[in-house]
Amino acid sequence: MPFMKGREPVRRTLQYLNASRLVLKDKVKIFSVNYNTHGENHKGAREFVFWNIPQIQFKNPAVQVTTLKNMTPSPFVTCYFEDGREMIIDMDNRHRDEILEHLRKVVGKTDEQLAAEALLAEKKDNPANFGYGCDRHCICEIPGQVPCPGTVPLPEHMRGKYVFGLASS
Amino acid sequence: MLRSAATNLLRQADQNLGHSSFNLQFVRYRRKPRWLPVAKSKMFRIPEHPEQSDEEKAELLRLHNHYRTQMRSVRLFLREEAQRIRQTSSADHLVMTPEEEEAEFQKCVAINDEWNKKISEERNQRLEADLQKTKEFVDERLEAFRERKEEHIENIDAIVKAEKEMAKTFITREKLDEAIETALANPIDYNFSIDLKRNMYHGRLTRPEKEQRQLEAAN
Repeated sequence: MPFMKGREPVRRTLQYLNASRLVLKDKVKIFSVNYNTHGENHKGAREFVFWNIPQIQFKNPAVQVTTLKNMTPSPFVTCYFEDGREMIIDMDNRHRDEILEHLRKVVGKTDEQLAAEALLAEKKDNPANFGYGCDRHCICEIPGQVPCPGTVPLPEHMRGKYVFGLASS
Repeated sequence: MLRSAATNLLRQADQNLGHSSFNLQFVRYRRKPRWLPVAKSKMFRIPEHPEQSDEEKAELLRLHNHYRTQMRSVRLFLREEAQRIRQTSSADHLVMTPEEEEAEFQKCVAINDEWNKKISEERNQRLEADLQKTKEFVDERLEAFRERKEEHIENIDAIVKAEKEMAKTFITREKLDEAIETALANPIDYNFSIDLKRNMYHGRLTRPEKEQRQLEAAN
């Protein structure tokens, strides 16, 4: 799509797509929404599909997201899990914010989980990090850095023992 | 490779000696370019292929089959291991035990059931109200229809009654002579005239009162 064309092109901006807080659990494999194009009780569902489905698909590229139109008297979301179970979430006559909040509670990862995962991902991502779970345990593994004092004693000009003259006295 | 190494050596030697133009060598292509045909000298050459006996062929096939099977098993093993590590390592996602996961799932299911129940109650209420409204609307319409129908019938009745009333004065064949006599006895004059003051004078021969009086006086 060209830039700034179509209905509400803000939906296609990276900033908007990234702003979603609904990240589905790893076990959710298919996320399907049933709604009608007409009807007052489908309004929230319609708006949810219009505004939030792009974000959900963006945030969950491994999940199949489908929308089914005009096949049901009342709108609902079906989540199919990895182990074959499914969860039906009614959204009849609900505002899209309420729907989103409920979905976050029921099929989304919690904020703590997301924060922890972001931290872990960052740890893994950044090659400058060192320590547990990183590419290297210690900065001393990089050539040109000072070796660990446990392995090789520090040069004398860095040691208080010599700098403050304690060794001689 | 060897030739380029030799050339390098030569070049170094040249630099050492200081007279490069003396030992200059051109570096030729290592093989003919792709677009040239087969060389004349090689045109009728038949490449020798080592002959393989049947036993040798069978043996090689057996060895190859073994090799492929082993490689396939190693590959599969590595793939499975990688998958297992990906699933169980905590490198990019938190790992929960199956019991924890199940408990969390059940908790979510409970929350969702409550939500669904609430919505379902509200929906039932709404549907009930809608049904009531529809019923009222239909009743109202039916009532209006009945009223309209009654009114219509009343109108028709009134017309029929009026017509029946009128039918009494209709001129039938028996009453024809009488009617003619009555008509002749009572002639009706529909003519009239208007003066400039919008006074209306019925009858063909009617005059304004003033004129009438003058006429009468003259007579």
